[in-house]
Amino acid sequence: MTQLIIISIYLALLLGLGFFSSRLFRGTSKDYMLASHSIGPFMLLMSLFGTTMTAFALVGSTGESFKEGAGVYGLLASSSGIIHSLCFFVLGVKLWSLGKKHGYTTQIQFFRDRLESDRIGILLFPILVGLIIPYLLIGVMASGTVINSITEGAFTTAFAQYDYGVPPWLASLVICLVVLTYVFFGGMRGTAIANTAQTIVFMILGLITFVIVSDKLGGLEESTNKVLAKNPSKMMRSVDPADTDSYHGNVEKGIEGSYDKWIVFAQYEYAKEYKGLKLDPADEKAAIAAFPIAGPAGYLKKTRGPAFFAKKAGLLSNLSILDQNLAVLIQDNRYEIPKGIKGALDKRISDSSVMTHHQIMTFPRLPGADREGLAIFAQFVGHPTEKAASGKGTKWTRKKAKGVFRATHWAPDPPHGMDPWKFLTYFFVPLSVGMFPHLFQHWLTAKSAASFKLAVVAHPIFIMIVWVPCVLLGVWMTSATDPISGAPIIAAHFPPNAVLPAAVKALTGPLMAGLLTAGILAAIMSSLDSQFLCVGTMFTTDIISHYAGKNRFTDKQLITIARVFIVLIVALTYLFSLFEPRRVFTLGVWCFSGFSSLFPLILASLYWKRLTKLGAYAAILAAAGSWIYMFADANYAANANYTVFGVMPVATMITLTTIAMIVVSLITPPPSKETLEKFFPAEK
Amino acid sequence: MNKRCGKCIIIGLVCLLIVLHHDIWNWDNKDPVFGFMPVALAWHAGISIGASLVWYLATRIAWPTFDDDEPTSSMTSEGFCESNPVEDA
Repeated sequence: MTQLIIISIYLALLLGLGFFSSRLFRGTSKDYMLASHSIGPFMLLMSLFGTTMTAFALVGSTGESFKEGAGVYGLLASSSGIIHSLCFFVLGVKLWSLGKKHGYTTQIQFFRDRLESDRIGILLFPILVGLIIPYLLIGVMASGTVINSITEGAFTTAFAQYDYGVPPWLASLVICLVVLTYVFFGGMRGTAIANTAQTIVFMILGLITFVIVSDKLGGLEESTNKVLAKNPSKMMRSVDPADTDSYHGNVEKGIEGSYDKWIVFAQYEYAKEYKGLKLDPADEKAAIAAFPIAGPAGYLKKTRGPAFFAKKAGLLSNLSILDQNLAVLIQDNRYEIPKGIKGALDKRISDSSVMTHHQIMTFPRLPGADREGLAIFAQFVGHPTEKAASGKGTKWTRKKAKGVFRATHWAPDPPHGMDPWKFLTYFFVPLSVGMFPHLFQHWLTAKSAASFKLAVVAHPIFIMIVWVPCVLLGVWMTSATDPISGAPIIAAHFPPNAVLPAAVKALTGPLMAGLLTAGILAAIMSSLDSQFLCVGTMFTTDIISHYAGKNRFTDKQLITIARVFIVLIVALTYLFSLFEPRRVFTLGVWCFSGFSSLFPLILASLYWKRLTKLGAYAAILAAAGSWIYMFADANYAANANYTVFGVMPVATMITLTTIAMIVVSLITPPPSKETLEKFFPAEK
Repeated sequence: MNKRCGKCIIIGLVCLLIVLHHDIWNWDNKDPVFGFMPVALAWHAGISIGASLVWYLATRIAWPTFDDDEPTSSMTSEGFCESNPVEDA
């Protein structure tokens, strides 16, 4: 309950900040959308940083480094330090100057002018808003997950199906409403103030929590030593031989591979279910007693013991190759035998060769398969503060039951490194900053070009301050154990989005957990607010004012129209968040890739005189077409390891966009002399 | 130093950062730096610091100038201008 109280107080304070900033509001739409170009260096730094660091930076980076290891920092954080500042420097300052000179509020206004095309706005508007929605989705989804995880057990009887915590759908809804409220009251000025305050909050609380967590784990060196002993591959970007031995086995060293052991279990379960295998009760009892590892609630003993006995006794040797393949696919919840006949089996399942783990992993896991854990472990599930029936510890949450199911049923993850080509092409992802519409709007709030200097210089260091603790924490959690029970704090196959809140909850007291949650929510909300404001600004400026005429509506009416549109987009995003969640990191990378694919367009429009209207159309269509095709091909972000020719999809998207833009621009008439003089004045 | 020369230096340093970022030589190094930090993380934290230094240099030797870059009013303690600096275009 303490956590819930702290979160509530924090949200109330934010609302108070919204009311305070509304007193500074000058009542004009320009003030509402651009804070009258009045933001100085410090607030510009904080609002730019707060806007770019979202759930992706905290929740996503911790979860991803838990899955992929320490190399995650190089994938996005250090490259962002170079590229984000580059974008502020090369694009931001120049766009600020043009925006101030010609009165732009949105990107589309700039493109319409520079490309001498009114219709380019009609093409760009749905694309930009469409790409902001997944970005919003990341924050909305993550806030629900974080609040639900951290408030488990806060209620005595309510919300049992959500482990007696605030349901994610309710938490996400409250966050959306709070952000909407302070954006509505304060506009861009309120957003900038809230961003600054929230960025300070999440940076300070993040660092304090990191110190406490590392201390609980036994100190910095001890935490890292555990990883070196248990999961050394997480410390680097290739696979450590010790992990290979542990997974594949090593006859010379007498190590039995974890995957082979799991196959025995899968085959035994399959033979029981589909081939009528039944052990003699006495043999089964002896096999259970002989198995050395109990596992959670003795489950490993009960399931693995009989499986190894059956294997030793040759009871699994009559399984055909097709049976062996089906056994692993079913056990890993990647396939269900269709009711009826064998002929209807998926054609990818071979009956002539045993499928490799890699081939098995090309079948996506069946959504919600881990719910089976709720039935298997029903007797252990209850209120997380109640004592367990065994007298040891407390009752399990529903999440824990599903987690134990995943950890004990599914195949161990094969150790894997990072592909150097994939790593290299990740460099294209941060280019998205150049095309984020909400950052464009933030750039225009600057008081002067010199205001950008602090943001350009400090941004890489700020990224480091936030990302290094998160990545370290994710890596440590792969091997951290509970100091009392010795059980892993985060089990295998744990949902990456929940690693950070689960670690904080397990290793800190309720007060710290509540404060850190406030910090995580601060990071999430400091992005959501800018994005909310931006979609409203784009709608009123690029669609309503542009087509209805500048004087058709009063400032007050325009602000109301912006607010209505914001509510519609937020409602749509909220609805999407109620569906099957994706990994925050994966979804973020897809969203950023879409914006990055338009980067050549903004760069060329500022620095290449020969860019033409039709060249821009070609670029936008190539970017949108390639993004839609690849996103669908990656099963709408469900395939987290999707690549094109072994490299990140964004590399292909940018290449296609650039080629289309250059070729079409060169074969079409150049822009008019007036436009060239306006955007490329002769240097003095 | 003229601005063109400053820009060339910055372009060169950014290219160097990009090359150093792809630290293939650290790929299978699991030794912790300072006893706790994976090399894969420590090296790239260094890249972040390096980036900050390069961008600091950029603000000194390659910063663009604009006709309208002069602030038109003084700042308040909250970081805002006391008067509206820009008229609607």
